[in-house]
Amino acid sequence: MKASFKPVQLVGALLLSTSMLLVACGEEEVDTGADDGGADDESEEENDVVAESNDEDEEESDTGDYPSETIEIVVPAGPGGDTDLNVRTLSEPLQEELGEDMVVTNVEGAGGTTGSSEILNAEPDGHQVLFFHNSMLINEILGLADYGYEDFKLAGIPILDEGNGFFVNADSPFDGIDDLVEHAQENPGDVDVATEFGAFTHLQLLALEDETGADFNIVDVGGASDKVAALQGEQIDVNPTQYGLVKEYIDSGDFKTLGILAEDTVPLMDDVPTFRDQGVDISFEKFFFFAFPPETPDDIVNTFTEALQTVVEENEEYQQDAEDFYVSPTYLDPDEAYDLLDESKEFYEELLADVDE
Amino acid sequence: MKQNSDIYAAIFFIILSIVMYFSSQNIQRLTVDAIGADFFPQLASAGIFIFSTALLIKGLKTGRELKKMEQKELNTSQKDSTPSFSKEQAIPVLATMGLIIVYLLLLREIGFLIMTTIYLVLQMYVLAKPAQRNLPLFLVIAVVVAGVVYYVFRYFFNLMLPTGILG
Amino acid sequence: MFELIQAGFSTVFTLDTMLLVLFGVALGLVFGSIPGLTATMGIAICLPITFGMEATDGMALLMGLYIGGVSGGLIPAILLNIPGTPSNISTTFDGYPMAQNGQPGKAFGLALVFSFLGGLFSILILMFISPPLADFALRFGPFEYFAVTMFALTMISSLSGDSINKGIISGFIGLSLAMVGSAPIDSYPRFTFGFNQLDAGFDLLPVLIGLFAISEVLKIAERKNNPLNTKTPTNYKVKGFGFSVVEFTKQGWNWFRSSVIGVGIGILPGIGGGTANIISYVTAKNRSKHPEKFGTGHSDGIVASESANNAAIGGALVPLIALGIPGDTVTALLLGGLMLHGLNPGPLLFEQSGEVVYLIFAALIVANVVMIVLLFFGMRFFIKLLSIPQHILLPIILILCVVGAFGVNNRLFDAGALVFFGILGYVLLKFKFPIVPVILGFILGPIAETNLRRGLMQTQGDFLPFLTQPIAATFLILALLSVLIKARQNFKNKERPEQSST
Repeated sequence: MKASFKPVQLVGALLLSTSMLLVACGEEEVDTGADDGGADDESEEENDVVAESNDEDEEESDTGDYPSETIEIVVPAGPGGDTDLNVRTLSEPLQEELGEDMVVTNVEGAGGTTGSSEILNAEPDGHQVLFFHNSMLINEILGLADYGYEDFKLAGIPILDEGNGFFVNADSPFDGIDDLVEHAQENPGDVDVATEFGAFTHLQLLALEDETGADFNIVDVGGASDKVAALQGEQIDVNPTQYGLVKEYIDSGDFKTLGILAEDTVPLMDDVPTFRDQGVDISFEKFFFFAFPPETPDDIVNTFTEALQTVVEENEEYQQDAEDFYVSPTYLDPDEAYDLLDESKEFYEELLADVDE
Repeated sequence: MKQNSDIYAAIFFIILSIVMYFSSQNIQRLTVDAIGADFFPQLASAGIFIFSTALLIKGLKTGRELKKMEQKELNTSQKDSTPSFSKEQAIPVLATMGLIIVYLLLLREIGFLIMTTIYLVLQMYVLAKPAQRNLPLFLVIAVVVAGVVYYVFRYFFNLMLPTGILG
Repeated sequence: MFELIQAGFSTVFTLDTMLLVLFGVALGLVFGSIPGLTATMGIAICLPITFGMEATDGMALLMGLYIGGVSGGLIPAILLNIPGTPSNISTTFDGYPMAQNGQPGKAFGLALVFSFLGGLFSILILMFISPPLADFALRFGPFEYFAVTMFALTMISSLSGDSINKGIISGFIGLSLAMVGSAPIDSYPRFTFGFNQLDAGFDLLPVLIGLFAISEVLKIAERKNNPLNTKTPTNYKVKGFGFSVVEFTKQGWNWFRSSVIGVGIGILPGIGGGTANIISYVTAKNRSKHPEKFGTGHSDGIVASESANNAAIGGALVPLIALGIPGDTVTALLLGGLMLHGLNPGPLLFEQSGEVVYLIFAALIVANVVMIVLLFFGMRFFIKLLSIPQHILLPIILILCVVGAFGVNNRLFDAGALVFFGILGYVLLKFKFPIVPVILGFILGPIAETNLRRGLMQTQGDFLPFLTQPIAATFLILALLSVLIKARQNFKNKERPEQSST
């Protein structure tokens, strides 16, 4: 077969050159033969690039050998969104704390149910974990998923986002949420407010209509950045979104804030009035949680939770990073997390019961 | 014969569009809009129905015309019509389809490295002409490719390829 | 401004940054050239690596990847008739026939020179007039998007081969396949038949690679025993770029028009590079004096496709840089990258982080140059790949397709979808249904549906604004005209005694 020998060399050369290209950047990851050693090597390589800490092996945990391989965090949302950014900033200090590499994978689609059902059915060995937010409750209530947070083993809440606000263009006639409500009470359906059907902001609007008797023209324009574009293009009048996502536009004088839906004034944004300050008595907070498959042993969840608590409460670098996105690093343990989610679910169910008509 | 294949395709699509239309009847409207989630499926099924019917009519017509001219110029029209599927052609195609499907079905259980090696060897064997079949060579290529792809994607690109029985 | 540009270039021209750009382009080319792996994936994978770098270094790497990823797709398009990325679909139409006719060097030369020039055009547009362009893009609401997609869908009539009827059916099939999964807006699951796996629908990548690459493998499997297939094109001689100065200058207008189309479509979020090349190709074909030459290895077709897809890069970056709004998945990733580096994309980006913005511009230009140099020296090597027997090359490509599909969402489901679409594509080909309309229907159908429904939501059920908004009305009229013209052409052809029937 002299004819086919040369091609083989070519294939080999192609693959070799490809792998060499990769090696050039990623150092020594290709030469690892064994499976277990491979995982270790990989985390070292990651840390080399990310931070200068190679001392993860010194920290020995006593709960079995978890984690023994790379932990995969499934984010049921696209890369670059707030869920993704929040977990990516969190995963760096967390992998140092746990002494094992962490990989964030985005499993998009169907309002987050694709990614969450993946974890629901995953191997319960603690090496796959879900990172998600309020939408899981809404998906269950709307019937888009036939399971809810109760079916998972929650591993705590590391982040609260209290900057859920309503934003308008700088030349808008409304200066506060009270102006908007008043106008919408007198002119039902006149104000176009953006949301994604069945998203968290949709709930906020329903609550606002419910509470004040105002009537908005609720329109779907797409995700967070589509809403910003729609407000800039004046296709909508009001954009309910996260404060951190539009901070730049407020600083530049393009947008102004009508108020945020926080319980009390938020230290991170103490100059922003809340809805309650303006006499509209509702509040919402977006919470992000970690969840394991239901059968996961408690020991494993505890190991993870402890590491999470340490990072959220003690790692100042992480805290600063989180606050740069205008989210509050706040740790709630699994029990507290269940309480918060139970409470929220009850509230959401009430709100959505009226819409089903 | 081409006109025949058109007729079969048209009939298939007409049935498909009817099934689509009826299954889209079950789509509920969750929003209060002029059109709901059921509008586009119905539009698409109507579209497929109309144009498939047109294709069917045309196919039947040219079929009849062709029969008339059959004595005259059969050869030319035969040339560019769909080639009939001979046995020698069907076997490698079906074998390839089968191989890919089996490969994917077993990928999670058995794992990427083993399945890929097996698949590559068999697939090369299927695609090669008898004179080109060189199993040792195929095996070497398969092992190298499977290994390089696995390690590059797994450890450099963090893609969690199934480890299967080796993990 | 020129000082900032100068500063941008001087940052890029340091050894480290140059190496990163070089590495980015090279890796991007690898990703682009392997069917199943795309620029998006390359950037998603390298994004975490950039976290540990300086913002400027990270951006240099990502820009290299972007340029390389979009350009690399031309390699398999020309050599194997398999588009490496959605941006190279129409490159296969003329690139592959030209290579088969014994001129792969010319096909490569044209493709890479016009990729370079299209890219350069769009980068200059991005640098100098992005704010007004971005403002214009903001005026595109649901009505305008709906109208533009309708117009783009009329392209199907020119891409249907012999039978427009079949092309339209193909388009509707693409549309129907896109409807599997959660409906836009209310997320109601459609045609999922109770399988939760189907809730998210099919991703573009497995659909594209299945329809084009897997079906191509099956076609070759079929031809295996055919003696016609023994022609192995090996001894190509490539001189320079493979084409003359006269040929180059003749393409000037085509290049300009295609680049403008690329930038224009690139700016519109969601429609993006996957359709820019097709629209530009069809426009070139319809404008040509010799439309019948298209599809047989005609230079104009390659130029139109490759100018447009690289021009879409600059276009997609316009709303990102000027407004902080991502235009497609790649720019969404870049946005995330900027934010993780503590930069705040948005209206203040120029003011607050001007040095990074100009570095991005400089990196894009440098990456563009690196791309053409790498491809120029690489093309001799790529052509040699053809001498690998197909029975060895194709299974390897197939494995890479599977891995790429798996990587879309880390699910085996997408790999399964890939095979399903491969078989579908093969069957469609067997029954002589064109495949490109399936892709167009698949990409554009959901955009049309979403925006129609959003528009009606906004107007509370009133259809009139679709006709009264000037931009929307213009595109709808254009769509109507394009259908009428095609219908008239067809009618004329029918008048003549039937020489070449269906």
